[in-house]
Amino acid sequence: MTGVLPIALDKATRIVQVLLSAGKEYVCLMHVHKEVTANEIKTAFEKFKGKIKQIPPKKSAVKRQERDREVYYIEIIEMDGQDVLFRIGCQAGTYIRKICHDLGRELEVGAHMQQLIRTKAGPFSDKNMISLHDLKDAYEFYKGGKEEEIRKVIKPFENAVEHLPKIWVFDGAVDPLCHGSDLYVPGVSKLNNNINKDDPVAVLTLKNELISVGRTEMTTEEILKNQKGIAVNRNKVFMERGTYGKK
Amino acid sequence: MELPFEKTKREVLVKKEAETDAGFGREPNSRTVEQLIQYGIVNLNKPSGPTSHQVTDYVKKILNVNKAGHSGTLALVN
Repeated sequence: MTGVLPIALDKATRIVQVLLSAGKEYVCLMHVHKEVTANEIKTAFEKFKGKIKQIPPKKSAVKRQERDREVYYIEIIEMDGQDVLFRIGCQAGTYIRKICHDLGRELEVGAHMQQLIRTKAGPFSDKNMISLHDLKDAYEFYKGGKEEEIRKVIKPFENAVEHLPKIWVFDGAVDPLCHGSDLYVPGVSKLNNNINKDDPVAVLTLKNELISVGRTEMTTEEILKNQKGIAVNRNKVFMERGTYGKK
Repeated sequence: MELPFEKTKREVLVKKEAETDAGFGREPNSRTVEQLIQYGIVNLNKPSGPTSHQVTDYVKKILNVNKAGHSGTLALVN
């Protein structure tokens, strides 16, 4: 098993885009090519905390040019001879294989990644993963008339935006959004604090259903203070037109 | 150990309080199973053999849905 792989279904499929840019956590087994002391390893690890520079590996989907990435935390779980098991929390797009390679260079003996398990992808963690078997069984139970299991293994796609700031809108503002309108300030009922301009934001109904994911044109303070103007644009709409239409 | 968003405490500020009409939409947790599948997400423990793409295909077949997507490929592990 290689860990957390959130899969979005049917009309929710595009929601995985918000997970691509979300922080990740991995547990990695690294093999060091020659014996080094525990202290040397610890010292090398310290250098990979915070802002780091990385050139994406050859086998990667992005342009091979140095870029800044942030390592939020990195800690050694266990050391056994030349094997080092560690946990790392990092910005999206950080290559762990590359970190192992660079740690090896720092140690001057070389190192490579032996095994990698993802333990977090944004709000999804290894604490509540399910297997393909669980999914298959749950679906069979559902076909047989029992809903309990399927409700445990499939979660509302709103769970995928847990890490984003949120704005809740009035019923009357929902259908225009579904038709591609920007969100205007008078449509806003509630919102989170500390939202900056240009932040990705989840736009929800007052029943907590996800309508769209967009980008803010105003800060929290501006949305609270202003009487008009665009609060959120560049919306990717998920809710179907007419859900909050005419009765 | 927490990712940055896990440490962020978000407060909810009210601009204008309002009721929502029960005749429109539905709270996420009261969706029918059919609706849950249409607007659902599965937190899968990826088996190590098949690719993420193949695993996504299995999920589509198991649940009998036309579309599904995963959150990016895990780094290649031998």
